Amino acid sequence: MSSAAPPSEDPMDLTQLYQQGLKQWQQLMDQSAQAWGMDTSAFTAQTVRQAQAGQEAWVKSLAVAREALAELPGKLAAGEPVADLTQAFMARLQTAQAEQMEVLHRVLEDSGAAWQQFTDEVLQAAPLPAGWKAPESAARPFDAMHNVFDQALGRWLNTPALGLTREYNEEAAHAVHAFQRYKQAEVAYLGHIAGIWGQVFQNLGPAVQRAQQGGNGVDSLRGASRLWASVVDDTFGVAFRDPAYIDRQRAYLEAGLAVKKHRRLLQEVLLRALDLPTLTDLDDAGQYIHALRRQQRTLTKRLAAAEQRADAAEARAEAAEKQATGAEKQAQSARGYAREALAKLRTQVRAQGRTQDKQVQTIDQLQAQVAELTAQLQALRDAAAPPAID
Amino acid sequence: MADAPFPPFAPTRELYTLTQQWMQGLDALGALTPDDIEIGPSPREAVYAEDKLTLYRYPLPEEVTPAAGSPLLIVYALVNRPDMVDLQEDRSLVRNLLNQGIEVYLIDWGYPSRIDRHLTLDDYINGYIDACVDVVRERHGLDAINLLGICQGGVFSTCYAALHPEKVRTLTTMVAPIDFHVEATAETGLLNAWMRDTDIDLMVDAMGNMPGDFMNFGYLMLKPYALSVQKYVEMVDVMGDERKLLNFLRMEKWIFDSPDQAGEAFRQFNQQFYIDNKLIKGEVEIGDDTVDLQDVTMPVLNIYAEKDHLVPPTSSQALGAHVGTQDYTVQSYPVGHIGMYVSGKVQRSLAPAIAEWLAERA
Repeated sequence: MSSAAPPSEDPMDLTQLYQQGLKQWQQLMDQSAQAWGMDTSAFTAQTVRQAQAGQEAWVKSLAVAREALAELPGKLAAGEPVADLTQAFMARLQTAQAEQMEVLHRVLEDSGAAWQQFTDEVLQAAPLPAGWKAPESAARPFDAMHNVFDQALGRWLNTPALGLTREYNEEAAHAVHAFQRYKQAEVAYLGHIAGIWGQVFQNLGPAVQRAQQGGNGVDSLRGASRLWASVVDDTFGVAFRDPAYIDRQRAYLEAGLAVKKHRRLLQEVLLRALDLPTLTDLDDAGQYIHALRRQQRTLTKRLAAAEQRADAAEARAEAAEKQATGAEKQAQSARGYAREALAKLRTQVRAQGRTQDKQVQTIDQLQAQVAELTAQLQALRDAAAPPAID
Repeated sequence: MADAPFPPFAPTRELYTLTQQWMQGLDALGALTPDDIEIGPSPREAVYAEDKLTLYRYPLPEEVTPAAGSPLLIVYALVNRPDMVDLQEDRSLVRNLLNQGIEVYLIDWGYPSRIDRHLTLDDYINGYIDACVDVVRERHGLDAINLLGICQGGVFSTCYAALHPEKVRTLTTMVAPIDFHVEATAETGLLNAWMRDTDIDLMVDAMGNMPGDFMNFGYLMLKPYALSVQKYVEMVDVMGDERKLLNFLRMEKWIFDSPDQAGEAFRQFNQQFYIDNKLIKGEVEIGDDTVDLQDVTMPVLNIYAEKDHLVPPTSSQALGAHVGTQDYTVQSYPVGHIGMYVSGKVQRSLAPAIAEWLAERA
């Protein structure tokens, strides 16, 4: 804090507010750690120093920009070309940015020492399992901090809960764990986004130069806004396709979804305790209704198909009935014809029978006559026969 | 403002002018009410409704003679509202088709709510679309009808045509993704890349239905600054002209009028299409059926946008290599995804091209 500006009388002095905020955070962090039996003062002091260095770098960058802008109207009035002034301004800004990037780089390197300090302090309070090894990634202090937490105090989050409220405790632990993962993913994601914004600023200068060289120099606010938009979108467009970005975005999204899911489950434990319906209950009801709707749709289709088949069958039955009626008439007609034919046949047969009877009688008579004649003939033969010679 | 006491510093003067424009524009904006932003002006009647779905019929104007390719059923995407096909009088695919003598039917999916989270692709394709097709067939006494699917609706229509070829006389797809794993370019394929490894089950389990705003945020991220900031910076240039301002506001209303996506359908669509790219492999499962694009044997007209940043042109072009029909026509326009609906050139030529193609196959 030694390089900080003297306290300002202006209540809106953001630098002063920022420094006050840092100091309050440091006190709060140290007090919280003390409650857990830890001494994190070295870590918090280091963090505050880094935050302050970062803030100073940012303020300096703004000051350079402000100074350059303040000089612009005078130079314009003096007749200097806008294109030259813009180029000079960008070059100045880039130089300043390079200096600040150097500062930030040192801050990042120092953060490795800070996290090491923190892990040492945590390890004193919460011994880690045998064989545990600190991650080597000192450039990711936040990740490392989470890993330390996971391996130490965070282990209880995934242990079976105990007691009367064990269900709630378990969901609460899961929710806390999910939230921790979410914050971890958020830092990684926002860090990546910050890197993309850094790339945007790096791309801006060359884009301005290319526009000027191509005869499309920025000569209006609209033009500046359009150029800025194209640089931002082009840079993000490339960055969004980077597999590393996609991984971070997915991790951030999924961590957020996990928080939402666990928060809901936690709420549902409470709702059930209060005998109130939960979203899961509503979803179950919805699923049941959906199943009924599907059944209804299937049955409606089947019914329609059955009705179609019934209509077709009815039509076929009508046609068959017509055919049957015709056939019956034909049959009746046939029966009538048959009866008539039979009657005629009978009559004929009877007539023939009678004729046959007569013929039989005639035959009988003839046969009798034949027999009589035969007898007569025999008698005549007998009479005419010569006497027997002994 | 020529008398304004400003130094000859162009940005300052421009800022002043911009401020003036903003102030005048705010007057124009304040004079409008939400009711003034009318979308979907063509007369229509609801001819069928089921759950939240409504099937609309757009009758032919009296002076128009029915064309040979009539009627046409339009299946729009679940994302955003189908009003885009009838945005305003001079930007209306529906109206242009009607003027060509094509009687139009349009499926409006409505706004799914939590109760609809279990709706599946089977419900949408074999349920809702099939019911609407049957309604149109019955109304016109046809065995098969003409189907036009737009964007995701194009995917649905293609699946439907493969599953029920006997009911589809012709299939027209418009800006429809078919191959979901085409190589991303600097301008396209970002959504595919983002969705490919996403845990869809977690998304649906956590959110139930997929919020429309969540999806809209994803679309905005395709060009974050241009779509979230620059667009409104440039809005100042149209605020003084009520007609242009209303055009802007209509588009704005349509863009952010995003229904939620039914959770199960979203899960199935993303898993089977975006992540596993099953459509071109002949492995998409809809209910108990498997979609084989070789079963798309009716005439197909595939229309895509050459500068589409949502559906890469190569993704749409893939249809030709997989369908079973011998009558395949492809047509493209030098516009973006939205330009297919609002571009003046497309407005003039798209509907006549569809009508002519349909008439040749009537």
